[in-house]
Amino acid sequence: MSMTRRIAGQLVGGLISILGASIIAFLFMRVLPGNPARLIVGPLASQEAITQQEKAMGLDQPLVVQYWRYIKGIITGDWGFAYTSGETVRHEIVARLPASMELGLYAFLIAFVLAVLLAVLSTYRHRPWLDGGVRTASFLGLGTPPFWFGLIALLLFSQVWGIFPGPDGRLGPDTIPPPTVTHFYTFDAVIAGQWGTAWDALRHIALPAITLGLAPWAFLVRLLRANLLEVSRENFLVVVRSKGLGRRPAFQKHALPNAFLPTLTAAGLLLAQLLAGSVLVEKVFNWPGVGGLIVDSILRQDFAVVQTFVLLSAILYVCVNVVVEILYSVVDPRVRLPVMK
Amino acid sequence: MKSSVGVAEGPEGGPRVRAAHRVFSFLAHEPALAAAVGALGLLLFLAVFGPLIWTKSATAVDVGSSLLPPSRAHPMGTDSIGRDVFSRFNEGARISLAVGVLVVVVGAILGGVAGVVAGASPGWVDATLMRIMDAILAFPALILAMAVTVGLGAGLETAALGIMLGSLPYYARLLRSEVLRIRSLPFIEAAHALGARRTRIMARHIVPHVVSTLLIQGAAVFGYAILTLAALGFVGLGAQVPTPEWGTMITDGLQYFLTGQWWIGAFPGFGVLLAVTAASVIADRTRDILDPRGRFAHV
Amino acid sequence: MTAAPRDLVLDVGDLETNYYTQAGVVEAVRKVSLEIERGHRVGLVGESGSGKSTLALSILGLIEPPGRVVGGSVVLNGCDIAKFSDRQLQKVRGRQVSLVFQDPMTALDPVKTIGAQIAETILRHRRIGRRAARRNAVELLRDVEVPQADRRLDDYPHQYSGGMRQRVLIAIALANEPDLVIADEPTAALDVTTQAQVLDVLERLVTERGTAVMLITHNLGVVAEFCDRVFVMYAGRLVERASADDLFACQAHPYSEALLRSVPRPDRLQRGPLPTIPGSPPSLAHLPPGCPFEPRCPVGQGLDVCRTQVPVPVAVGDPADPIVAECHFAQERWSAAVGRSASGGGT
Repeated sequence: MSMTRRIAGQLVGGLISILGASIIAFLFMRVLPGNPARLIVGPLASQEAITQQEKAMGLDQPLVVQYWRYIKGIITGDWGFAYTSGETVRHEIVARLPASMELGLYAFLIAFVLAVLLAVLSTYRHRPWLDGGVRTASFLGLGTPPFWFGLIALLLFSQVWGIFPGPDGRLGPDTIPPPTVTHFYTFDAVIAGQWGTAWDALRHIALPAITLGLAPWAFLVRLLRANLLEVSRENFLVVVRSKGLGRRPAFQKHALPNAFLPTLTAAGLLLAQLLAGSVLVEKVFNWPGVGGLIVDSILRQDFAVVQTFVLLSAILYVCVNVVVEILYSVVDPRVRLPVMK
Repeated sequence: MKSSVGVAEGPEGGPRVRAAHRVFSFLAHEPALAAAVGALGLLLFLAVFGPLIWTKSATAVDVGSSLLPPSRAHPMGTDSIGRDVFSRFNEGARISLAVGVLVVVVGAILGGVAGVVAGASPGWVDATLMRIMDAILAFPALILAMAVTVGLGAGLETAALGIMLGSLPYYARLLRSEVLRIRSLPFIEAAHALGARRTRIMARHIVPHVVSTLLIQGAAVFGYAILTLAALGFVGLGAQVPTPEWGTMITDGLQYFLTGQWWIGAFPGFGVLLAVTAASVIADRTRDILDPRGRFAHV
Repeated sequence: MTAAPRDLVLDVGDLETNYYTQAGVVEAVRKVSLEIERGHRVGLVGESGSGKSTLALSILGLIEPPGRVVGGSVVLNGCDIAKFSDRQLQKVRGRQVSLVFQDPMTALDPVKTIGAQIAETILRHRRIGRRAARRNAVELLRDVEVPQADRRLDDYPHQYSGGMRQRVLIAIALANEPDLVIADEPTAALDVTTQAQVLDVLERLVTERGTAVMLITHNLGVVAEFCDRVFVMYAGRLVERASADDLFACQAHPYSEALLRSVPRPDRLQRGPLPTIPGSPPSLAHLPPGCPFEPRCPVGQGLDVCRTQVPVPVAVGDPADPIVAECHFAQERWSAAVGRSASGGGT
């Protein structure tokens, strides 16, 4: 099957998944007890006020019509109002998205770089101590509840040893955010030349990023290690060595690239998950990201926000899937080129 | 080493002793697995026998002895209203382990059946089932569980339901690919060629392999279930006050972390860590050991 | 009596390789000695598990843990490379001695082009530019009869058929004109027609360049056509060594005879089941005290001398070019065979 057909197939499948997710999200929020109209007009409002509000919100229409309006709204950018804050959903989400994305990016970088480093070190030469240590650490990393780890980390590194600042969000209380370019404080501060701000931002993002990146690191390091071990036993490496290549060039030029390929897909998906923000880590560190917004919205049954966010994360997930697929087919010649004889 | 026949040497005492001996020498070769089984065993012991041995109440409020650090009277200290953390820990263990097992078993059955049906059925059934699974997967698992608990009322049971829902696609996809793979394996054709009836083929060849795959996936889901349950408890969905679930206990301890009374939140979190890590190790090592190629059996 | 000093490209003496596994120590290569003269072709024959591939890898120094070469000498072009460090061996591999690997489907890096993989060995050992190496690679592809070589140079392994990939492996092995090529089952994964093709290519190239070849195979037909000398390997030892002519005329070791007899003859009508060698090779971790072939040997099975005493190598036949077999009955068997052919009975 040619590459364009495969990608087209992926896209169609993705769209169907998104559609399905949107229906589930939509229906679900309608099923919630509690009346959003009432939430808006307040607990003391009269029945007429509530009915009027319902009409204004279109809640008296049949479900199908409501769904249609909802989908239309999503596409046109009208994502409704957040009932608890009064702002548009879009405003709420967009305001907080960069914080989550910055956190997710750093978490991914830490996880990825450390995973590659440790996986390579522990498999290149037979170092049973390091290997065993890495494996144990990866199991522990997968099993640690991130919110608990964040708390312990705060306790040790912030309270007891004072290396990192406490949970006051992205910047210290005395620091002014840098002028906005990318919405990422670390980048913007560097761009504006505000080194003090940049340092402060980095110090604040360190602990949450490490906490968030712990589980992804554990996952990646195990995957890469397993792939490296498997590739090391492949026959073509014997052939490469029989050409007179040393262990290091054989490892670098042949083992690593082949082991990296299957890791790419997993890494891409992880990045997507991380970018969508982590609900709990953000809460622990008072990080003003999307995650905190979502938790509060769920608890307060502010379904407009939740609906939109869920749909958005579904779309993100599908998009990243497709991108990873495309990337993979570009990078892996077995997928890119058809078999000819 | 022992002789392979096992009759001339080995301990006396009949087949039971010999079997036990075999189990022990097996475990001796697998320190990680042994440690994991031991850890889970300890938690299980605390969950089941804890309240019998340590009779302090998990819910009795005693404000006079609040915020006491760990001591002989209170091995894990007391919380903000004087409840004994250790007995709450044991209760929490019981809840987490029970929910974990429940979620795994029910999820495995439902998800597994869905996967098998999808793999063994014609195109459109397969496609529909898998699209549903994909739609579930598109939700971040935690959000899904949260939405379920909020929608159906916060509580332990709804939390378990939400968690189980999120685990279904994993079983379904796994079993579907297993069924597809096995269907086309030559040894199935060979058994067929030798005249074996379909049910016999299923029972003797497919089922054992599928069961072991399910078990391994189940062990991993077990860990995920406990983790998610704690996460739900942390945000106030899931188990409700005064139920001593580990996640809610961490929330209780949240504000006391930075004021010095670390034990309230640290111990339950450690319990989660222990349970989930042990489950992952067991899942991982079992998978390696059962690998028919045996390549990774001792890597 | 004194023969002219032979020009040996390879002289292996008492090579021993063990694998240290959970199940015990596996003695894969047990004090094997062999010689290959320059330009000659020898065949190494044996069942799966006899240690043939391990021997090849041991010669090249490519045994990885849990395996280890524990003794012996490997004199290549006059130097004992068994004593070399890996760095020193890197200069030898692919240059003076090279390997044609057995499984073409997994022997090439799937994410690198064929051209890159051929050029890799050229660039490793010669100081030429990448473009020159590329031209060289095209030449080699033409030598091994890959059509449209200049275009197919940039293809990936999965775009080649099995036979073509095998020929690429030959090209890689011969790229730097080594003195010795070890071909490990180069045709095992191919169908009969492709086999013939690949062997033809190999034959032509080594004849052109005067390369010595050690052909490892279990296919005796190939050995008959291709090789001057034959070594028969069983349970980690060379149980018989002879010129090809001698071996096919008369097999001093019962194993060799059994091997030959188990080759199905399509030109003869065969009634009854195909002849096989009953039983299976012994475990190299738990070797019996006497002759390793005894349990399956039509001659020595059950005999005390075969069960308890390890046979020593016995030289029979022409003293200038003897057949050397490790069997208590080698001499008798040979004499009997000579007697048979003298009295006119043929095979």
